[in-house]
This record gives sequence, structure tokens and C-alpha cells, in this order.
Amino acid sequence: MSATSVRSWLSCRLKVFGDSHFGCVYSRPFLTSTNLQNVQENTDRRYVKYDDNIVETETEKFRVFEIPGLKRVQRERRTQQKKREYEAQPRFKQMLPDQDWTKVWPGPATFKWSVVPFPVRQGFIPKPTIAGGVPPGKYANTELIKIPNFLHLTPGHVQQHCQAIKKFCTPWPAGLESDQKCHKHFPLEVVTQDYCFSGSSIRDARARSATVQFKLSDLDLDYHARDKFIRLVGPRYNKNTDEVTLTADRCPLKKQNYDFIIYLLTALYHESWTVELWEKEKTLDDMEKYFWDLNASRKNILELLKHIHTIEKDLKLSPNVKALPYLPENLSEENLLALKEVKSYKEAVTDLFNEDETKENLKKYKEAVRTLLNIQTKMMSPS
Amino acid sequence: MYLAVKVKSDLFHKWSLLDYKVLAAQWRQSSRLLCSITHQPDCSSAFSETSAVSLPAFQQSNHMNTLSEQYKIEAQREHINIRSIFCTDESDPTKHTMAHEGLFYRVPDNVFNSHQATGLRKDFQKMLKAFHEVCIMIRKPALEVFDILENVNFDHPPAKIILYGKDGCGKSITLAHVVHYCYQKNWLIVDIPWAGHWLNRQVEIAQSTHNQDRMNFPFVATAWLQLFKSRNLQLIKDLTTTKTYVWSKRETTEEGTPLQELIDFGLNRQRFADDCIGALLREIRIRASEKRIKVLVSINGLNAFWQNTTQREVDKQLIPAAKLTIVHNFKKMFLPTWNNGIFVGTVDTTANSFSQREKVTPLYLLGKEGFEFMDPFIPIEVSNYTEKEVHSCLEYYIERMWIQNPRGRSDDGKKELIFLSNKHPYELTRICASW
Amino acid sequence: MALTGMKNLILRGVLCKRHAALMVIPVRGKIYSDDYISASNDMEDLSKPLTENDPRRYKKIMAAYTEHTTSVNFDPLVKYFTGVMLRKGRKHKARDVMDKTFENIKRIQLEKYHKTEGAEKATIELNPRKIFYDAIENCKPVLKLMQIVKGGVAYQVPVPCREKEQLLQSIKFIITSCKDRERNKIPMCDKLAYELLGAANHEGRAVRKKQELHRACEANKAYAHYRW
Repeated sequence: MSATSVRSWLSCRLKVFGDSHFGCVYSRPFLTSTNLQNVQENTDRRYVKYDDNIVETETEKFRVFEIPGLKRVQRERRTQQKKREYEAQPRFKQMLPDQDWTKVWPGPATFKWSVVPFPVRQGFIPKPTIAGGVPPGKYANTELIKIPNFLHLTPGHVQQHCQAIKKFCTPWPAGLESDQKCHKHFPLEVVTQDYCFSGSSIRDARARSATVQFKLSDLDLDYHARDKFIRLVGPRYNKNTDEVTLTADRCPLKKQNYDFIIYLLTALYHESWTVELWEKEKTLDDMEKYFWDLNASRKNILELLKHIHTIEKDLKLSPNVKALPYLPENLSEENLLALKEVKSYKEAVTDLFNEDETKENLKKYKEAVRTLLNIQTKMMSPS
Repeated sequence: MYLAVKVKSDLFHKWSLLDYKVLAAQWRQSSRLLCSITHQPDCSSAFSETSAVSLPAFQQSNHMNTLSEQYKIEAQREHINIRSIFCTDESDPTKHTMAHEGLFYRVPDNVFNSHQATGLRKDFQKMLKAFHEVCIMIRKPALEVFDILENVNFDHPPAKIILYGKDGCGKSITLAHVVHYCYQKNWLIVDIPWAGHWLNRQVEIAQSTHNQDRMNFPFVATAWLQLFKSRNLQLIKDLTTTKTYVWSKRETTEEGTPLQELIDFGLNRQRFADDCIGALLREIRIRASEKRIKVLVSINGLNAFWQNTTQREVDKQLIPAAKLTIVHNFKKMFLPTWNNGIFVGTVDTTANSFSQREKVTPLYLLGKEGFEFMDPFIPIEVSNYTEKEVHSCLEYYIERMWIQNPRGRSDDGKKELIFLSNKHPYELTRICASW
Repeated sequence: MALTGMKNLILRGVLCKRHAALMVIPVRGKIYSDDYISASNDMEDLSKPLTENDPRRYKKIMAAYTEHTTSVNFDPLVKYFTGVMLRKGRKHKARDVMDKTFENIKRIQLEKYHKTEGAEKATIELNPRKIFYDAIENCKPVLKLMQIVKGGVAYQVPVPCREKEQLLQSIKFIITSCKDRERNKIPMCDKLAYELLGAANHEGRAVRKKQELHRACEANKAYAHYRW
């Protein structure tokens, strides 16, 4: 750009902004004399150099006008012998196999390919034909940068952390060596949560809740109290693990919630020991499980056995091998219930009701009935 | 590719544990996979190694071969009628023993038509028509029932045997076999071919004349009386009533009337048919206790007695079966008030309402009330075919020309049929039907 | 490429619509080129080791069809028939109808078999597959009528039927003759069984339909030259 053109451009600008105040303000520092001079000097030198060349060629030969585009002009190829800059080798190439990794990677950091000494591959390849079907390596691999890494949490790191905080620790209390012992001395398991934020508030609504877990067998309860306790806590009792989980989050503070659970636990315990008047009105349908002694099955069997006894008495003259040999003379209820056959029958029926109707239980029931009625068959029962 | 094969072999391994329907579906699916796998040129080197695992399970196992081969060899060697291998000439079920297990026996047509046909599935009866004969397989549950029948003390109150098992496993046919056994022994057969049928029909209902709380099903009652009459006319010929029954002011049945007349009265006076059944059953109980007759009470779909009918009362509540006079009368047969009889019945999911068909076990199907009413009973499971039974069944189908596909008659075809049906009897008939 | 070029030519009016027949029309749903060979579902074939020159060693193989199985009872024609009969995508239902049809055919034939006595017994065909094949063969039309417009008048011109068209037409004859309003309450499997049995003996509506078509072709014989 020559000086004149600069000038004309500026004048244009000035024309546009001439009347306005801002135009003047902006134009002033731009129009310093030194600036203009520099521009002029540079352009002049270039033109001179160019002129010199022309003069030289003119003296040697007659210049033939070449119509541009008619003949192919061979361009002089620039020799690009740019000297390569020295590229530092990645750091992992100089690493020793027995180096201290905790010093290389002291804290959490984004993945850096040049520092990690082992080969890693990560990423998706759309077709198996691309790149030989192998996911990209670690160099410039954004996938590896995106994911969290745990290179700062190696066993060495952990050991160092432990060493560092060891001075703050007290020795493990004696007598709590095993889990069983821990459980024995501390049957309650209290779970609370704290939340950390980098935001403006340090509060979190979830932090107020408290949970207490314990095994029901740790409480001192009899059959009635245990049953009542289970009914009172409802779904908070896990039958398979025998654990009760009580959670509270109504109160605003964690401490208050915890206190409430402890209060609740106390109340539950004492409530389950009390026997209310209305509990005597419990019917068979309200039972937590099947009790053979209370149900019709017992009545049926006793009646049946008594019936059979009278029949056999009548047939005394013709003794039958298929009669029931185990029946005692005195058919009181205690005598009948004490019979081995009746006991096994009772057990089988109770299992059918309380456990599932599995093949084993059905088989057990079948065998119990067979022995009870003394049906001696030649065939073994099919499994 | 290797992975695919690996996964499949795991799948085959699991097959043995799964239900037959799932199996069939999975088999169909993976056999597709199989075509594509074994065809892949890349895996041709691995082909020879993987072929062992990738073949369907039914084509792998060699032990299945043995029995069918045995059939073939015997048939070729002795030049005998192959029928003798899977069929026994012993058509008297009282003589059936464990030696006959898994073999078919021919049921005389008259016995089948009079005593067995009513309770069986329609498609089974259709199949029998195509077979041009009635053959029932002698299976272990039936033999077990016979064994109990022989060893039970008939001086005691009637023992109860309940057959249970998955749908289509042959409970009804086992019961039919038992009925034939008792027919052969000249017992009186008090039979309900399908109790569920009583509840699901929309027929006329009426209030009982005897007890205001109960409901009568006059059409059902007369139909049953007719059935009973047609079956047992010979046996009840000499029996008479022990009591005078007063039906109304003008209609009475005097003491000493033959039972046949009692039945005829019920058939003529539909209004009293339900109560007539009660009277008839009472007489049967008394006569049985007097050792004049032996009685088999057989009820197919017993659990229907503790279900609701499909009809509604005036207050729009479904009528429970317990309220029906016939059900009430039949329930008396299970009480220990009489002897010289036995009860053999089945519990079936299809006799229950749709919401209660999850399990096939007796306690679940009968419910607590039903179980306590029936106990103590002897549960006998009717399960899928055994190895021997399924082979003899297939041979029978082939002999009866029911499997027409020539490849289906080959060993491969048999193996596939066994595999697809998982030895489930009904499923096997369904699959064979289109072969 | 050729196809799009042809389309452009048509758009520019260089080719008129009559030339469109020259174009290669892609087969619907076909995604494989000719260098693929189809998958086999024959277990016997698959269990044999590959020979040296087996094309499966060097050629690509199509994926197996979803509905094809390696079952001993598998039949491609039955599958095809089921597919034509299929309505509203209820393949399971169609398959069920097919199975029941075979069962019915077998049942009817067995009944006949047991009724007849003596040497005639052997003449009764019991295999439902065989009957099915015969029925389809007997309903195949040789000619079809094609509507061709000449000078503003539409002519029904008899044209020879290709093999594949014959098969489809035959199946359609059988299925449509089962689906009439008069016999609405009879299950499809029963009607189909009777229809197939009839067709196997050159009887029934399906065969009559074929004969009617032939008759119409015969009547329009004079227009045969309009085909070109």
C-alpha cells in the first residue's frame, strides 16, 4: 500500500466521519508522521530492488514479449530446506522401569500421553477396515483425556497417604479384631451422609437423614414380641437377612433424626412386649404362619384315627394285616398327638403350608400319609 | 465369530433347564444363527472344532439313539410285527405291572365309549378317531394308583388319591386308565368327567327345595344322572333304598324302591334332580359300607369344588360352588362316614379361575379350605414322558401313520420331536400333528 | 449409477416413458450383490466337511432367512405359502393355520384309509405334504391376461406365465377360494384342508378358477399379437 493510497483511504474515512466528533478522535493517533514515513521507506526500497533486476536482464538480451498463458512457464521450485526444529522426546522414553511413580504423577491430573509409559488404546472405530481395526493409541487421544483416570491412586500413592496420616491415627481397639466381635459390641449400624460443594451453599437437604440398621436377633424378644415387632415395622424388616432398617428424615437436623430413630426403636421394643386385650381376638386368618394345632387338619386326623379305631374294634374277630398297628388302646388326644406317625404328618403339613410346595415337601407329605394310613405298597414312590 | 459360537454353546447348555416352549422358541432362533455361522468362510478353520458345540443338543446326545435303534434292530432281526415292541396284548388293566410300563394297551371300544370318552380332551378324541383304535399308555402314576388300590384297607374310611401335574401331562388319561381298572374289577364308578364343566356353563339355576341356602343346577344334575345310569345300570340293579324320601306333599320314594327307579324319578322330575343325587349317593355309601358293592369315586378337576361359578346371585355376587346342591352332595363322599370305597381325582389348573393358575400343586389349586377338607390324601405326580415312554409313543404314532413326513420317521426326526416337545405328552401330539 | 443416469435422461425428456422398461429395476428388499451365495439350512449338508473347491470357501454368504430353520420338517414352499396367507403380520397365526391344515388333511385321509378295504388302500395318499404339492401344481395357470392399451382401447391380452408367477397365482387361487363369505364360520384350516384335497384331485374352486382363466385366455386369443 503506497502512501498516497493510504492517504486517500484516510480522507475517505475522514469524509465519512468528518462532522462527527468520534471520527476525529479515532483518526488522530493513527495519523502520526512517523508511521507514514516508515511505510514510505519500506515501499521505496522494494521498488528499487525490483528495478535493478530489470535493468540487468535488459542489457543481456532482447526482450521478447511473451503472451501470458500461451507458453508454459516453468516456475522455479523453491528449495524448502527448512531446518527441522529439535523436537524434545516424550518424557516416558526417558523413564526408568524402577522409578518412583508417585513423583511422576503426584496428584489427580488429566491424562497426558507423553508421561504415561505404558501403551493404552481407547476410542471407537466405525469400520474394522479403518486403521487395521485397532482403536487409536494414546497420542493426542481425546477419549483418554475425557475419562477420569486413577493414576494418582496407585498402591504406592495409597501407601504414602497412609504414611502421611498415620501420625493422626490411634491404634485399633483391642477386642474388636473380627467382624463378629465388632457386631457383638456394636450391634447398631448408623448410616449418615455428608455432602461437599464448591457452590455458594454448604447445605444439602439430603444430609439430614439418618439410618439405623440392626439384626432382629440381637434384640431380646420372645415369640409374641418378635412377631409383633415384625408386624409393627412392616416392610422395614428383611426376612432373608433378618435385618431391620429404620430411616428418618423428617426433622431438620441429622442429630434430631438420629435421636428420633433411637426413640422409635425404644418405643417399638417396649410396645412389642406388651400384650393388648384385642390381641386375644386373633383369628386363624391373622396368623403369621400355619399352626397345625389350631387348624382343621388336626381335628380331621384325630377324628379319622378315632373312627378307624372303632371300626377295627368291631372287626376284632378278623384281624387284618392292613389295620393300623400303632394305635394305642387309650385314644386320648395327648396319646394320639404323641404318636410318631402323627408327628411326622404334622411336620409334613406344616412344611407344605409354611414353606413352598416343593417336590421334597410333597414327597414328605405323601410318605407321611402313607405311614399314617398304613398303606404298604410294593412300588417305590417316583421321585 | 468365536464369541457367537461360545455364547450359543452356553445357550445349549441351559436348554436342559428351561421350559419346553421357551426351548422350542430358542431352538428356532438359534438354528438360524447356526446356518449363518457354519457358512462363514472365515470360520471354516474353526468349523471342525466348533461343530461339536454348535449342533443342537438333540443331535449331540448319543444315548437317545440306543432305544430307537433297539426297536429297529429287533424289528429287522426277528421279522415280527413291530407293534409288539411298544404295545402289549394285555388289555386287562388289573394285570398291568411294572413290566408293562411305557407300553400301550388296547382299550375295548365299548369301555371307552361308556366310561372314558366324556372326560377327555376333544382333540385327543379326534386323534383316536384318526388312529382307528383306542390305546392308552401304561404309565407309572397309574400303576402306582393300582398298587395303592390293591393294598389299601377297605374297612377304613375311603382313601383319597389326588393326581397332579402340568397341563397336558396325562392326568385325565391316567384317571381313565384307573376307571378301566375299576370297571374290570366290577366296581361301582361314581364319576365326574370334568367338574370344571359344572361351573362354567350358563344354565338354569333354581333354589333348592330341600335347603333354602343352596342352589340347584337341574340340567347339570339330570345330565349326570343320565351318565351314571348309562354306566352302572347293571351294578345297581339289585340295590334298593333304605329310607323313605319325601320330595313334596305328593311325591315320595318309599323304602325298598330300586335305585334305578330313584334315578328315573330324578330324570323325570328335574326339580328334584339335585336332591335325588344326594339320596342316590347316600344309598351308595350305605350299600358300600354293607360290603355289597365297592365304589370308585373319581372326579376330574376336583379343585373346581372350591371355586366360584360363573353365574351370579340376586345380589350380583358370584355363586360359590360350595352353595350348589350337587357339590355339597359330592363332598359328602370324602367324609370318613363310610367305607369300602376309594377316591381318585385330579386337580387341574384349568378348573381354577384365570387368576389362580400359577402352580399345579394340590395345595395351591385346592386352597387352604379344600386342602383341609381333603386331607389326608396321597398326592401322585403325573409328569412328562420318560425316555422309554417317549420312544414308544413315537413308534406308536409312526405305526398308526400319524407321522407322515418320511424324514420325521428317521432317527433325526425322532430326536427333533423329542427335543421340541421336551417329552411333554400334549406338546408332542401337537407337534406331530403337522409332521 | 446407470439407474440415476437413466432417470436424468427421462427427466430431461430424452427418453420417454416407454423406454423405462429398459431400466434395471431393483428388487425390493434385496441388499446382496450377485457375488453372495445363499445360506443353506440343510443339517446334512452343513455337517459335511467343506471340499477343496467349495464356493463357501471363497464366496460371501447371505444371512439366513429369519423364518428358515434347520428342522427336519422344514419346507420352503410351505413357508412361502404361509407368507402369502399371512394377514396383518400375524405370522404365528398363519403358521398355526398351516399346521392345523396338514393335521386335518392327514385326519381326513386316514379316515378314508381305514374305511377302504383291500388293494385300494395302497392308492390313498396319506402324506399331507405330497397332497399340498400336488394341489399347488394342479392350480398353476399356464397363461394370464394382461391389460394392454392400444389406440385408446384396453385389451385383455393372453400372455404366458412365468414360473414364479404361476406359483404365486396358484397359491392365490387356493387361498382366495377359501376366503368367501358363504363359509365364514368354518375355520380357515378346515376350508384350506378341503380345498387342497380337492385341488390335488383336480376338483374344487381353485382348479375351477384356473380353468376359467384359461378359458378367458382362449376367448381373447385374437388379441395375442397385441402383446408386442
